[in-house]
Amino acid sequence: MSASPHPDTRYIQALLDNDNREIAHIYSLFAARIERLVCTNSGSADDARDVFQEALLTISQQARRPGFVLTCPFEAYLYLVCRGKWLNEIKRRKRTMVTISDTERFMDETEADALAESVLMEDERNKLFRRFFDKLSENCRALLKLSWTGLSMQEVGETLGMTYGYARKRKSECIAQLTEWIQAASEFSTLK
Amino acid sequence: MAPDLYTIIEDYLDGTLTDQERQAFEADMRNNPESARVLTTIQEARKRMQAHWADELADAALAETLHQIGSAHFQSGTVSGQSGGGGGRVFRISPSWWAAAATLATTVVAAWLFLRPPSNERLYAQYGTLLEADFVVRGAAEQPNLAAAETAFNSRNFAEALRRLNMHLAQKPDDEQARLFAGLSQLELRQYDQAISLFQQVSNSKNIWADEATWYLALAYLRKDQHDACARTLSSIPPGSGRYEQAAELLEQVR
Repeated sequence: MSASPHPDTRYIQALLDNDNREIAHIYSLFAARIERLVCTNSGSADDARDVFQEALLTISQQARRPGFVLTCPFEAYLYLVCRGKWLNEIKRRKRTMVTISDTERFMDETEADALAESVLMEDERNKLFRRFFDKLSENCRALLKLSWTGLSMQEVGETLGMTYGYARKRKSECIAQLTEWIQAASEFSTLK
Repeated sequence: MAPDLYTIIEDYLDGTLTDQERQAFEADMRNNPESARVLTTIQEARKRMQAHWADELADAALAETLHQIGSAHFQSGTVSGQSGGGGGRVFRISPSWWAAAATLATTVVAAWLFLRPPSNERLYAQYGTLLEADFVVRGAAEQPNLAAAETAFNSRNFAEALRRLNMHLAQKPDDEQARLFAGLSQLELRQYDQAISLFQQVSNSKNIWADEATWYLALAYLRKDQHDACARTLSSIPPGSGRYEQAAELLEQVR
């Protein structure tokens, strides 16, 4: 049986619709709590603003995937995603193990925790793939983007001024490089 | 010369191998875990990058909204709680100053929101609501490419939708609805010239999809920053069309 959506799904819908009024409402309701979390854990108001924005973007990306259902209160979900993002950020800055002190507790926290953990993991894995894709040469990035968004290799070659045969050879080299980098990254096997 | 592993994997994922080649490839993957690992990595890379490109426009529009609203809700440059380091200074500001500053900030943000010139992408985000693909009612069950295109389009996998629609159009070149959705997929993939060409064909067909195609043709010109062509196309939408009011509204903004 599939889980039924929580009434707070309207906040998710507001993000998907880019609804200014409802998004401003999300900020009015939840921003202060996130600012308190970040500012009491080595961060500033600017950090809190960035974390809040990133969390909402990540949540909306995840919500566009087929099968996504919000099964817990939005506040708990948003708080735990922000908390995870801030924890990752301070780990990056301090390059050491860190913990976050907070006393916030929510109803249905187990459900929210599982959902937040899954969205954070997906986000980190997306970033891993994008980081290595962006590291490819401009020529490789253009070739793979054209090919992976539906153009035939004949069309890719014509667009980039290459012969069909060279476009295929170059594509193989670009993918070989990308695969090698991704598989060699330590997070590739840990972020699953 | 036999193609290398990466080329065969791409041909397999693109669906361009013959049945015999596909079966041989799948057997090879079952017997060779290292090659199978390469296949799943490339599959995952394609899936994640395609989702990223499909989301780019919506992400940019949402990020812009969040940036505008966020600045008004977080008090930059001040510390609003206790500093975690213990040595940070806490700026204390009187409540009346906060009230005045909040009013001023709200007024400035609101004025900026209303007065700034609308960007093409913002207008597109506002007006470019995508149609939902609904081919099944037309008997798509008997046409697997159309059924697959519908699923892909509605889950915003525009590259796959386009691939399936092109395969369908190769067999049914007179299907103007499929051509319109191929154009919409191109538009979402930012392949504007191809999208424009497809919308022009549907628009000129005088089919029931012609008005929709004219509307999206205008949006494609908008995204390509061709405001004159966009305005001319919007002006050609007749008063009886379901898009007439939206077209008149958008026309005001692009002129």
